[in-house]
Amino acid sequence: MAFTTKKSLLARVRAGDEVSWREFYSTYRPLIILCGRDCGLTSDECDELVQQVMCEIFQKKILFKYNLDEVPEDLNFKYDPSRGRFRYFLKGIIRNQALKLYHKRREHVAIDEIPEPTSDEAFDAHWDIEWRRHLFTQAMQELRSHVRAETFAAFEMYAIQDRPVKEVADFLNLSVDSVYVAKNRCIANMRTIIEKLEKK
Amino acid sequence: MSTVKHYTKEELELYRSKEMPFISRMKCTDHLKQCVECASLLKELETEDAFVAELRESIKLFDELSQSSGE
Repeated sequence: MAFTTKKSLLARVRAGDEVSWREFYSTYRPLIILCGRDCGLTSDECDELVQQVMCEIFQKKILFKYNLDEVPEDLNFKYDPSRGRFRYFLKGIIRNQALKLYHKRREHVAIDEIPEPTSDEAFDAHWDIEWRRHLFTQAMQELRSHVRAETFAAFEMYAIQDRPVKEVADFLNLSVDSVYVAKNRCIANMRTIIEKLEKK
Repeated sequence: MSTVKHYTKEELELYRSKEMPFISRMKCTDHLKQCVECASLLKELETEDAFVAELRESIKLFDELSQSSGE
């Protein structure tokens, strides 16, 4: 799981920093796939959606000739904050590209065989859920740089991996009480990080 | 003037996970019936459970999607 230590990718994107294709791809691919699924796209269409969204964001039509794993490392994009909040900018691109794929499907399948596209309202509701999930994962990555390694490990094992508290305590050579302290400290930090990410 | 001893979050974690010794647990149960502050802290832990569950689910989902090659 990649993570940035100085400034989150999202913060850098919002600040208009140059961000590489690979970093962006690994961070946003899950979010794009989830949105594609919410729009009723198939697995193959979701993969195509990822590529279409990435190409739109990086504005490199030439990318189509590359396999996603062989995209040059030096491809960067700089987000222009005057285009609105990054969250909405990305959402708009995903929605548009998902609709394009939906219409493309119509060229191959009889209209009465495919369901109606997801409404804007439904997409908005799904988007809020998926974005929150995305923020959670980003915040978790940032958390590493906010707490001691031992505290993070205790939280990850106990809260995220759902292991018994005694097992975590024994494994990390801590008291059960210390595992709970670590959990509470990490939750407090997570809330602060998520709040900051949401406000930016 | 007596000072009321309140429970910490960690102690309440021990209480609700039944890891607290029996006598201490009984004392804690009595205390929680009378202390709004500690009862509220216990409620807070339950809210945090929901937060952690959502976090766990999000991370699991994103990890699965990150590891999949798009199949």
